[in-house]
Amino acid sequence: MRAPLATIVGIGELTPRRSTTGESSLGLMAEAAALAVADGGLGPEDVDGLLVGQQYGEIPMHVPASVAEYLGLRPTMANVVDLGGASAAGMVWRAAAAIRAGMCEVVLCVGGAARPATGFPKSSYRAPIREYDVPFGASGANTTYAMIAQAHMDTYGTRAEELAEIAVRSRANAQLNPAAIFHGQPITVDDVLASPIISRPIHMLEAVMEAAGASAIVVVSPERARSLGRAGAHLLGAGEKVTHRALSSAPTVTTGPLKDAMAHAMAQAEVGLADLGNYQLYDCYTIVVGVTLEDLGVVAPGKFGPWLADHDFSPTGDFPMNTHGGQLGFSQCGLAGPMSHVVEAVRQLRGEAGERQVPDPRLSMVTGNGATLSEAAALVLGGTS
Amino acid sequence: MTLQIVDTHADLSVAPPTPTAESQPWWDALREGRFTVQTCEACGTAQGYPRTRCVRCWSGHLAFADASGGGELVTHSEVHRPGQASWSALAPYYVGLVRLDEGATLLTHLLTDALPEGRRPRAGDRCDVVPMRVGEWVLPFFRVHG
Repeated sequence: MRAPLATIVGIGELTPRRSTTGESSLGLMAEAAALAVADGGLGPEDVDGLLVGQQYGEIPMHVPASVAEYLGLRPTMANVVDLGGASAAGMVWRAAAAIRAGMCEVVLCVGGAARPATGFPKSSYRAPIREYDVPFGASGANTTYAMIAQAHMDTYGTRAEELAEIAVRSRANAQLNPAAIFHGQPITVDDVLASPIISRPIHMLEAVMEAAGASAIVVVSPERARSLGRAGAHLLGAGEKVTHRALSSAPTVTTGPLKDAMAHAMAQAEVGLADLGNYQLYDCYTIVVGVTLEDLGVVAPGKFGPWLADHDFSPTGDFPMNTHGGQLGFSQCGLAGPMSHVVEAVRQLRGEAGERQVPDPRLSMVTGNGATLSEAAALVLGGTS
Repeated sequence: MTLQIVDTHADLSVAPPTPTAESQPWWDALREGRFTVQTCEACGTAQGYPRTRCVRCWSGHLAFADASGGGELVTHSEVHRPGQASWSALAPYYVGLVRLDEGATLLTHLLTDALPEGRRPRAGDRCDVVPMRVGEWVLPFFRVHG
């Protein structure tokens, strides 16, 4: 295993809520940022790097400046990372690169969203996907992920029950996480299949639930982490790949760019599949988990369905996956959803996951997925002790 | 080749296309019942939507060529809860990806009336373009054949 590229020393996460009344996304992100910086044993004056995500029409331009101003930061490196669900993992690698390039020393990565009861604010936009998808009746992620799932079923004979099983397991893990929005609400395969079809073959319970919340992490150099004297998670390797925006331009519809991103992350970390001990895999829809397992190489293409029966995703199982409940069980609070996978990996590696602690977490594979298997980022994280 | 424009969806009131200077000739041809595909004169690549440059070789020598109108279904979904409320009146309906015989892939609205009763579309099905009037526009829908 290689020397670490950077270290996550602080995490902060708000408990997801279905909706907010009057709060701003900036306000929620500030709360998560304060938690993360304090958790790292640092203060606001230490933060000199800032990575933020898109703000859903709330702040159409100049997002880093808006966040920095709100938090009273004067960063020497600030950027939007606009990789959708891959933004959080993408931020971690960029933070490491910025630190190593001498741009800054302490990077705050933060994402979150307020969510009025009427839903996330929508902004109008012009893009090819607006011109060539929306006028035909295909808009939103549901329809596109449905086409990916349908392709998997047509190509490999994947069954609806197998996809549903992934949602059931996420919910099962969420029962060990009091912060998860579906804590206290386990489900069965029959529940999933009885839930309304949104866009065939996707049922309502196979899609993440939107919520309000925020998450933040703090990335520093391994040397700085050592001087802080706190347990954290070392970034050992990362990978990223962007292949398309609309599914009509995807190189394939049954695999995704995470295949290359995860391979790069493991090669850079100088580790193999046998070194991984917990998996925090982006799960906006059940089909994404199936494709990611195949792209990771733990199971042959097309075979994730039958493979499920022989493997256990619980914290004490042979394949601990999305131990916080995944976004399917935890909820998707804007970009805090993707960040929840990073935060959970740090908790597991620190040994702070409580009731859902993986006995031997070894290394974490963390993935992010943006647009519709379009933007991918992967991280290999390891403990600092 | 000029195709008959079909009027069965003329009263549908949904978000229209948002043409640019690059795509206007493609939409104009559809109004005349012609289905074209932008093709690179340097390398022969047919691309899914009009651009200023070839997506493969970046040549600026591009032309709109009449397409055969035939293609193969890559994947599809039956939409029950449309992302835009204006489509709800038609739900459930089918959308899918069609790989044209020229090689480009388009997202489109699928017509399934040529399939036997109870038969759903599936990957590999042959499809033919149907120029469909939707409000003020003519869109290239595709009919799925088993």
